[in-house]
Amino acid sequence: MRTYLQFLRRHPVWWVTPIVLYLGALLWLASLVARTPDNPFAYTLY
Amino acid sequence: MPVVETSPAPPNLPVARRLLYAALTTLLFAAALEGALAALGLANPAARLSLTRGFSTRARYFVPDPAQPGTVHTQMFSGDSPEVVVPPRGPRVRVLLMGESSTEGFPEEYIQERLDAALPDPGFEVINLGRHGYGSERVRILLAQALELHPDVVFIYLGHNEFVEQGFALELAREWHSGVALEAVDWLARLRTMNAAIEVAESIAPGPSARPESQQAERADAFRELTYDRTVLFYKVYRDNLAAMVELAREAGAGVLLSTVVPNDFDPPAVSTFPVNLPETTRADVFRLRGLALGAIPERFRKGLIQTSPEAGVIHLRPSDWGELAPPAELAARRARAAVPAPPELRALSAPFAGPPLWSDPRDWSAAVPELLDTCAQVVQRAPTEDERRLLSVTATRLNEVLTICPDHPITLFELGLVRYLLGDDDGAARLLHAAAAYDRAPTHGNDVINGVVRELAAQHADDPDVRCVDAEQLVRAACPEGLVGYELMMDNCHLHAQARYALVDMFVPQLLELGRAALTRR
Repeated sequence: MRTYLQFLRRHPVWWVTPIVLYLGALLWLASLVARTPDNPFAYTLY
Repeated sequence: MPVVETSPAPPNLPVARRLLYAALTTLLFAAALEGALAALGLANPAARLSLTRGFSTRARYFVPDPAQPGTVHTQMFSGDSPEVVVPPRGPRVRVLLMGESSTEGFPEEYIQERLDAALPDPGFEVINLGRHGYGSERVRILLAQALELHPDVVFIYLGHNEFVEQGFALELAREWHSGVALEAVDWLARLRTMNAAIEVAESIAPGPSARPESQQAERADAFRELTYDRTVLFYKVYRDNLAAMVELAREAGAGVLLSTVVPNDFDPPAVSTFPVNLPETTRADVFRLRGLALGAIPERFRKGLIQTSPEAGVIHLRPSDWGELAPPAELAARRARAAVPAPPELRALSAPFAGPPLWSDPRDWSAAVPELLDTCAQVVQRAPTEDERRLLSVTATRLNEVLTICPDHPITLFELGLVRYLLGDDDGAARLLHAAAAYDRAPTHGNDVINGVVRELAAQHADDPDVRCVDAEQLVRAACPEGLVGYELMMDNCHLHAQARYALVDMFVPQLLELGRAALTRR
């Protein structure tokens, strides 16, 4: 536990980076979902 | 000084240990975020339809209404239409209407009134679960969940959207590069964190409909190259899905009413391709013959109905062109026009569609409606001059030559059908127009193949009195001159005018009533 807490304190880049990547990946995927159509284009065409 | 400041520097951590701790920290962070959202009751994944747009069996179509215990509401329209609220099951006979946009447009209150008038005690409860754009694959998933509503009768009107739906499935797979990626994201969407991110993204990103026209047009291309040997595979899927729906409903103890679907015979095929083994030189001959043939058709018979060049395209009407579901501002602008479109004279229909025109108020029409109807009027009046008859005969000869090369070329069959119709050959015209729809590589309305599946399935259940079928297509054709369904009845490829839908659903009421009576007997 002590080693883990020291890791958190001494090496923030090592754990902040994956959290940022995780949030970034979520937002990126979410933006793709938001762009995904609900209805087929053919329906609006015909 | 704090202890941490004075603690000795840790020994250099191995990289593997650092990675492990980093992963652990990320997991803890994700779990804390998820827990916080759950504690606050935010971004509930159950309150969102599957990201697969309903194609996954994980899609949750019904959610309990916390404000009204026992009541559920649908989540399938994404704001396009109001969701359907289903109250707790009571003594009334519960009827579910399942299907596509045609079903969604059925007047369920009127059906319920008709049924209630015939059997007021205990009465009926008609719930319309039709969803525009849906085909048999998603209706099957929806029905499996809808059976938890304990219906007495399930009515299925479905068959126009098989290729529309599968085209959309391809579109989705293409957008996500593979179905697997979409499934993976769908799985992630079980997390509240993911749903919160989607809510944020939806609030800031422009919706799909706001995309440029060029990107929208790409979406229509999914089946442009489809050949008929692959088309038939989709009919097998339809057959399997429809059969499964009947089985599901019967296993749940519900009676089933099937119906054939009503197509517009004057709507041209959506996709016409040649067999893959047709030599390039033969294709060139076909294009040349078609060019000569179509160029000979007098313009008054083809404008908006037959495509002769990329510029002179076919008019595909939509319900909004007639004023149905049109944006209010657009509708107001149409009503403010000084000149109201003059409705042309089309064919007179027989009972139950006889009487004044069934279409909407011409003040609500877009400019495309009178443009296409004027051509339709010229066609159905069938009064070509002698010169025009000669030209049409030349066209027929050349189109026949095309058909000797490629006998199932859908658009050629359609064009020859119209020419035969203009020349007064009713039987030939009907045969060709039916064939055009049946050989369409990716039809956007029902045809003889689709309706044949419905009839075949009904025949397989002939010994089960709780599976019935109404051949709506035949009943409607009997009311149309020459047995051909046109714009007198239809708004577009597959949707009846609002007024015509009342007469159509009247055809289903007696069978629904019988199935409802049988359900009461079983109770």
